[in-house]
Amino acid sequence: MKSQIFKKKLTTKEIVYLGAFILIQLLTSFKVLSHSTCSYQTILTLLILLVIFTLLFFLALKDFNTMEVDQVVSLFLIVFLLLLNAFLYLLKGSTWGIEITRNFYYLPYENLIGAIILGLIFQLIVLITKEKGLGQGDVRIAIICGFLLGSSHLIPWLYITIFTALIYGLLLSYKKKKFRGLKIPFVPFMVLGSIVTILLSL
Amino acid sequence: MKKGYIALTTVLIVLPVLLLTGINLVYQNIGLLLTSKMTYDSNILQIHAETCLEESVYKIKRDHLFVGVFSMTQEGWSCESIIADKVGEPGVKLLSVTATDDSANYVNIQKELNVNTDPFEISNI
Repeated sequence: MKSQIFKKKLTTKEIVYLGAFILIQLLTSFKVLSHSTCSYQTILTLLILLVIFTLLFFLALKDFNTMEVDQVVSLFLIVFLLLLNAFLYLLKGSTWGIEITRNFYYLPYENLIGAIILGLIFQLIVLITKEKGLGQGDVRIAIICGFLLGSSHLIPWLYITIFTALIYGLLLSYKKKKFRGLKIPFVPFMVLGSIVTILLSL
Repeated sequence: MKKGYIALTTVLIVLPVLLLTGINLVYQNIGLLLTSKMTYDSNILQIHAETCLEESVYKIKRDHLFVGVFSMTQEGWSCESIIADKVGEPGVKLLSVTATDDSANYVNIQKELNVNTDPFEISNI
């Protein structure tokens, strides 16, 4: 994935995208570090979240260009987040969480529930539409978002994701003069929804 | 590679479901907020009624023979305390305190006060 992105010359769209990505990462770090008590747990969680969001950004960029989701990266993220949250839940219990800021806690139990709910909803849509309405790769990204946000942030995440995708879809359909069968990349909107939800909660 | 797209029709089908869920949640939260506000107002009014009761007892302390109506008006709330002698029991008074606020909520407290003892004995009716 790295070679695909960095061997060729970046387009203006990709440069804007990367700029926005760096800005958001810096903004998130600043918000967390200026609010929290800066324990080693908070900093470690922030670092893990930043690495995960970097990978998600590249998945989103790839999806935006090719409408495909990298299997290896998405599977790695799911397995890593599953193991991390399950380990923390089994070790510390259902009420334990890491305080990122005063308003945002990283709660492993809620995250597991969130991933299960999103995974089930998205997989159901894939099964009903026989992968014509929603791609299988999006289910993986939805599970990752569920692991990152937790069950309490699912509704705002769904709203942001669906509405931004709708606006983009309508603009695209107007531009292409085509409505039926129009497909839009969904991963960038899911990643955007996650970032906005987290930034609003911080 | 896995497919990573959503059809615009899927978005449009999911949207009403999401909106209905959102509206339902908003209604639930409005109900919850109203209940919380009513509980809060009731608790505050209870405190005001108890303040009024204290003032009534203080008034009786200064004048053991006082009977009649004692009123208090403050910003946002008022109260009325009806003080009467208990028939057949000299030195025992009946206090009925009613506090009301601007939202027409009211709290009524009824107590029995024995002024024969020192300190006074106050009990529920």
